[in-house]
Amino acid sequence: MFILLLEDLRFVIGLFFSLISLILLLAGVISPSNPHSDFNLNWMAAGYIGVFSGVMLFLGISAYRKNLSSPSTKKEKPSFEIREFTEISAQ
Amino acid sequence: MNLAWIDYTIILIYFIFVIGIGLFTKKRIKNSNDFLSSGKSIPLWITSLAFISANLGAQEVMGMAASGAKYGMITAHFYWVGAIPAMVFLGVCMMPFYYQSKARSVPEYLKLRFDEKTRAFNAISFAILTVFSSGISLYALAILLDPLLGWNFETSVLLSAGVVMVYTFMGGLTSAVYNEVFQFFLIILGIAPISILGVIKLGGWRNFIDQLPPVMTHCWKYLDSSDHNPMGVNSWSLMLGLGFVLSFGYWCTDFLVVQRAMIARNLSSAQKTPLIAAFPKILLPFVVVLPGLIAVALFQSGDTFHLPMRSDQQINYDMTLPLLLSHFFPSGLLGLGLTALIASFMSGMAGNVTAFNSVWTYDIYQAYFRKSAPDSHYLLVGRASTVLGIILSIGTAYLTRTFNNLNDLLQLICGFINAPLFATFFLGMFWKRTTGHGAFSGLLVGTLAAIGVHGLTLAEGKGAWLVHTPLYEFHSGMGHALGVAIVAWSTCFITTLLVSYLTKPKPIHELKGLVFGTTQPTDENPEQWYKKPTTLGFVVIVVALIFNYVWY
Repeated sequence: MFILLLEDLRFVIGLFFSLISLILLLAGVISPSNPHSDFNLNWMAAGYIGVFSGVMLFLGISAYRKNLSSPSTKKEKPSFEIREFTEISAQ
Repeated sequence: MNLAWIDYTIILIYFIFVIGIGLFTKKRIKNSNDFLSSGKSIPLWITSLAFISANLGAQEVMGMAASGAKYGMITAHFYWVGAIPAMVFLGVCMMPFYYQSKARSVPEYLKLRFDEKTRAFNAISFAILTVFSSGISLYALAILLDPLLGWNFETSVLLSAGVVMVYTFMGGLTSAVYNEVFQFFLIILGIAPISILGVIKLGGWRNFIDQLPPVMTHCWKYLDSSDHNPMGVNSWSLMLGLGFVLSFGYWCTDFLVVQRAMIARNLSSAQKTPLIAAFPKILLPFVVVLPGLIAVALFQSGDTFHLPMRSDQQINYDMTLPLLLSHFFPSGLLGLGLTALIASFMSGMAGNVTAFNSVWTYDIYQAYFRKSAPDSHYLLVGRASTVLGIILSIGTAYLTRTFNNLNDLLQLICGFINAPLFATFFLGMFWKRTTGHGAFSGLLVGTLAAIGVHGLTLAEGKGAWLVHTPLYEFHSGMGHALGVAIVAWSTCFITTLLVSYLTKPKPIHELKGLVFGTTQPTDENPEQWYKKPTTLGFVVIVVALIFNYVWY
């Protein structure tokens, strides 16, 4: 399933930015002070990037689930390839 | 600039993901059409974001921040006047002809509409300029990474070119397009915080605007005369030169961007690609131009931020964005910002390389070297031309390093060739009487006229290389470029008209689907009025007008 999800661009983008979000959380712990701001900028960035990655992951997974549940209608085509999804569901 | 291990980790993860996308798209490549044209299977949201991302190279991202610092908000004209109307025109008026002609490239459309020599002129000049453009992008990346990351020229060039080659070689156009979308989000999320942090640092929007000279905060107010604004242009030359000739020449005829719309799944998606792309394009000045204004406001407010001087004692505006990143971002976020800059370079380079391999394979190799070969042969040629394009780009990067003025020269030649192009396409698509001889001679004479005007006139000490005493001196380099473009376009237009009248046109049945009025539109899947490209185009224009009004 994970390999199939990796074929959806939204999921890939979501995965990348969730990794970045985690790294920024860590960076915020390592260097909490910032020269030109009162708040922890790394945590702030981790927040908005985390939300964005969550939305992209949700869209990617939703498209995958939609294609599993209704292979014949093909209402929502994933960004990469639909063939694998429909083949799996047919099995 | 001091980078920590965490910054390098982000850069490394980025490289792994772009290559990973190449790997996953590789299995889609079954034939040359998949490799060079993505099999016309890409969804609308991807083609739309790829459409603007292909243009969102480093010259754009860093260049617009630099222009923002130098000229102010007037730089937004490159978007609201110099891109949006042309993108709407492409989507509403031109895309039906490109798409319905079933041409695989813009030069191939010229072959279908006119003749072989017009295609050859466009294909060869486009292929050469694309490779040079890609090489200049590589050179710019290398000289940026030297002070930022401490990487030497060879490391930067070979690593970046190597990564682009791996993912474009594996997945072809699909891989490049998917990476462009990925890079688009990275650029926005990595660079946009500068604008927000800058405005907060300056005490809010009102205080930020108050720190700037009024001429930097208006788009139109100081365009009554070229003496009244730092760009040295007036509203008429701006609207005609940038808003019409240069922008329509680029957005409507340059295969690099048009290709992103041509690979959409159907005509409706192809038409909507530039229209949907126009919405984020309208907002881009707040990501790429605003940092330039923030740099000026910070300096005016007595902040420690300042731009360095070049060896000729002029301010080095090109460093605006990297220095703002270093000024505001702590380790971690700095890595993300730098990765966004690297992504913009790679996005621009991959766009050029994939456009080059299509034109080389379809319009040069298949047209002149081997017309009928098995498809596997053209797939091989497509892959080989990807490698060739990268090697030539690396060569150009080294050439640019050796000859400092090569960059300026190439930009100039791009202008000479691009400026007259839209006249040819406009007449070709909307006037049945236009002939191949007319189009070819128009392009040739238009290009020569551009060279001639540049050689006879002067601006900022450049040009007038044909005469001792220049015939006319422009107020600025920008005014000069616009003037040259207007003359080139007009000359091409008039020459094409005259020669077309004197030569025999193609019969109407050969123009079916290629020229306005030769086919009835087929509404197989009629859309509601609010989903039609014309409605979308109208909304885009209204939104762009609102932005022009607010920033008047």
